Amino acid sequence: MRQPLLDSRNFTAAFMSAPALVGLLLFVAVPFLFAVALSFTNLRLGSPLPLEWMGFEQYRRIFSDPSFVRALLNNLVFVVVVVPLQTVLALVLALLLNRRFYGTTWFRTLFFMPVVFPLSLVAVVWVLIFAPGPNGMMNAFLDLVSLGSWTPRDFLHDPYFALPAIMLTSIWQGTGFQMVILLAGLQAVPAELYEAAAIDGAGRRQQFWHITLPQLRNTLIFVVLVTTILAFRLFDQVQIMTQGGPYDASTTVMFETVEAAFARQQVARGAAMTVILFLVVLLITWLQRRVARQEREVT
Amino acid sequence: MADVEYRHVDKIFEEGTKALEKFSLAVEDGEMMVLVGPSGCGKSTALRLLAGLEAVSNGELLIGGRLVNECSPQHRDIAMVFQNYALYPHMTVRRNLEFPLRMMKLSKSEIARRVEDAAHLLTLTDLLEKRPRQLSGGQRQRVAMGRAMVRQPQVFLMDEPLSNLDAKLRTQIRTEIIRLQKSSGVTTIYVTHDQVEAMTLGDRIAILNAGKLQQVGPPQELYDHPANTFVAVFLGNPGMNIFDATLNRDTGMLQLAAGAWQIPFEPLLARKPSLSEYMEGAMLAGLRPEMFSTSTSGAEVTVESVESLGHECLVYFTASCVVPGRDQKTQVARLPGPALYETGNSIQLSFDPERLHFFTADGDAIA
Repeated sequence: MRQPLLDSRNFTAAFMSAPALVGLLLFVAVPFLFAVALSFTNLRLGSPLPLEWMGFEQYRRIFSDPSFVRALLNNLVFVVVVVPLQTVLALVLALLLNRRFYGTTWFRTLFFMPVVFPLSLVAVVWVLIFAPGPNGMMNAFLDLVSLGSWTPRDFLHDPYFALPAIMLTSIWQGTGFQMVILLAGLQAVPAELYEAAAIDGAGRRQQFWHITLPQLRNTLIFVVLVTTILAFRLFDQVQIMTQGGPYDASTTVMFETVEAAFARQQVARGAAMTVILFLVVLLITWLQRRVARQEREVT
Repeated sequence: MADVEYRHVDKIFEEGTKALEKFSLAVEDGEMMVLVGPSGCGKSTALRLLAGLEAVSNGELLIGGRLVNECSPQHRDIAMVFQNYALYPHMTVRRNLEFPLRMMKLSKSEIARRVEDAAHLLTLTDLLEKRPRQLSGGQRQRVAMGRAMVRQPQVFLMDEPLSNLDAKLRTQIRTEIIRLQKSSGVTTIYVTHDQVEAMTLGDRIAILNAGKLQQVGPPQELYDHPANTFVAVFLGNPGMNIFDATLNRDTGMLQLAAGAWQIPFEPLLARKPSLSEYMEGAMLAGLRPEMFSTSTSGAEVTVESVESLGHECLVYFTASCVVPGRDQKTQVARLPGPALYETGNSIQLSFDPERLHFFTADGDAIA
């Protein structure tokens, strides 16, 4: 027998989820549909030209714009470098902090602190660290460790160092978040498995490869996915530290989008860029789910 | 294969809990030793110390004559079956069985051979490609056994390996364990809280209580000659009844349960002369529930409750002749036949005085 669509239980469920659903609809779904619609027009704020349907013209223009292509490439490079580095670093920190020793809680707090700081504040601090000239903190540090053979650079205005500088800032800021999630994953591994492995003759390293990593698999997939998505949304550090420069060396899709929509008021163009970003993120999520599902099927 | 020895081993945990105190036990080569006791008695700790999962606080641990106090678990050449099996969930049954062998860096063909043998022996062949979560409790238990066996270790350690199984399967696997242990001849230390398991499995049993070893010996010996009231009450289902007892010089009678039973003590003294030392003093007497029988010449007791087991029944009673003001301890008799007794009624129980066990007021057996 079919249940009536609006019996009391369904009504309660709908009622309870309404605030969240309305918010999601109003602030995510509707604006995004607007963006999709706008991306097929020529809308530009303050332009005297009439609104016109342009089809895929915006997309064609975007992909023939070297700045946007550079931005997409920068994002890819950023993901390829930052995601593995940050994940490995977070895993190492999590493994270290998973042991019991004096001051564990203090270290955990310390490593998590950058996550709590506003990104803009972190970026400002790192601008100071990357200050040009021999008195800049990073320059002075590199001078010290290279025993004086380092030539001071203006990192944030150097075509080769601007993006790596932003990467370093992002890793410093983001590692704590991954560390906490991995730590939770580590603590969920039953101690018994390590005991069994030790008795079965596995040393520390073998326990890591045969117990820790496989048991952390799902946590790692989650962490990598979230970091990848966040990496594609890279904006704050770029805005504050380099403004995308020099010569687009550190520009990103998000930065290009904001520039187009709000600095140049090319709303339609900005909308098209967000649609592209959305598709990229969607693709990554889909890939991740495919990988994760395969694992679920065999277990 | 090797013998195992605990020499005056203490285990004190960081927070100060004394889990094991002056624990000494020698397990012979090829023997099946069962450590048994109530929960928290230190039996699992004793096993974990031997496995190297916990560090010994004081004393010495020897495996095959070699001091292993400082030796890590992977170098002790032991295998362990955990209570929850601790199978590697991300590996197939085959990979689980292979794991210890791969850690030993055996050749591929040798690994395959040993896994096939173990799988055949434990009828796991059809399950080799499955993952632990696809298996039933009994199958997981067999995989855990297999993973311990492929190693061909010097010592098997088993930590309550049957406690997660239903009663029927437990009996079945118990028989299996005995068969495997006898055919492999590997020294085995088996921890359980279940005295039935202890009685049926062990070549010898070591009974622990509150971190201290109470008695070691073959099951029947412990049952027949318990070293103290703890062992007497712990073994047997239900355990031994303990009565207060006095030898009354004036009447020449042994008074049990505040005089509910009066028995001439002359024949008892003839058999156990040391009893005379306790004349008029405080003493305890024990009697197994199955030693009671109903008779018109017995002492009158009040039935508290009855449990029928079909072919026999357990009658819980208080001896009616109790001095006012003393706590009335419930005792139990195991009587043959269906339950014909009703709560609140009086029945008369008697027994052969030869079957009594005697203990000091502190609970130690009187030799």
